[in-house]
Amino acid sequence: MSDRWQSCEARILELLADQATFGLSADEQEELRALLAIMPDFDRDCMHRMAATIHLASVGKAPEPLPPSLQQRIRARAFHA
Amino acid sequence: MDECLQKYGGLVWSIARKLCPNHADAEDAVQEVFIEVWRHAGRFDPQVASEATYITMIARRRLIDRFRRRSRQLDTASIQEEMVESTSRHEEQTEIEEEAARAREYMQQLRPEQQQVLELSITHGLSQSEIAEATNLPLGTVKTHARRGLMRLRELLGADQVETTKGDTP
Repeated sequence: MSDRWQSCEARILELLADQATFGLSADEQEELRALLAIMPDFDRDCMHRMAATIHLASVGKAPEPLPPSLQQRIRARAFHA
Repeated sequence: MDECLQKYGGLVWSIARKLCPNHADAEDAVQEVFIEVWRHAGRFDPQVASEATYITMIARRRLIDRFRRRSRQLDTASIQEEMVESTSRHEEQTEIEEEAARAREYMQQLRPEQQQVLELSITHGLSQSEIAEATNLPLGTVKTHARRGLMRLRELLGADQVETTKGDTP
């Protein structure tokens, strides 16, 4: 793997990490889009998965169940979607 | 659909309650999350992430989109825990609890400052400047801890997946 490729990958990871935590500016979004165009197979969800893992770590032993009325509304909305 | 709601409804609801400013907003958000889960069910790949991680990822994205649209202060109140009544719900919950316990083990392998910054950002939805103020760290350091923590977590999870794959080989 060339140095250029490695630095491209490292920068994508930085931007994806920033996107998953604090968000990206318009310039950074454009930079990420351009880099991902160079590496289209890059796993662009990888940092969002890490963030999801951190969120899962915060889940209590028995989270409050979904209210039944809300479940009904979701079913109705899914039916019409 | 019912199975998905039963199994992951509590998980999505707990995330929404943490990241939404009020009850009504959390209810709207949860509806949007599940509609998106069903629309994109075909994209789920068990080789890449567990169901719980996949659904949490969709929930976070949807909630962050809503939050950024509104640019409102997040309510970081903790979620009250409830006793579980039905056996089936208990089994479903156990699976999520096990996954949460594994996630906590990974988190504990990060440096304390990385854990702190990531928890404040991801779990409580604080901005970079809010975290800098709360921790007395420079803005750039906050971002560095968040980046390095996520990258370390990625390494840890990647190494674990490699080990699991090796273990699966006859």
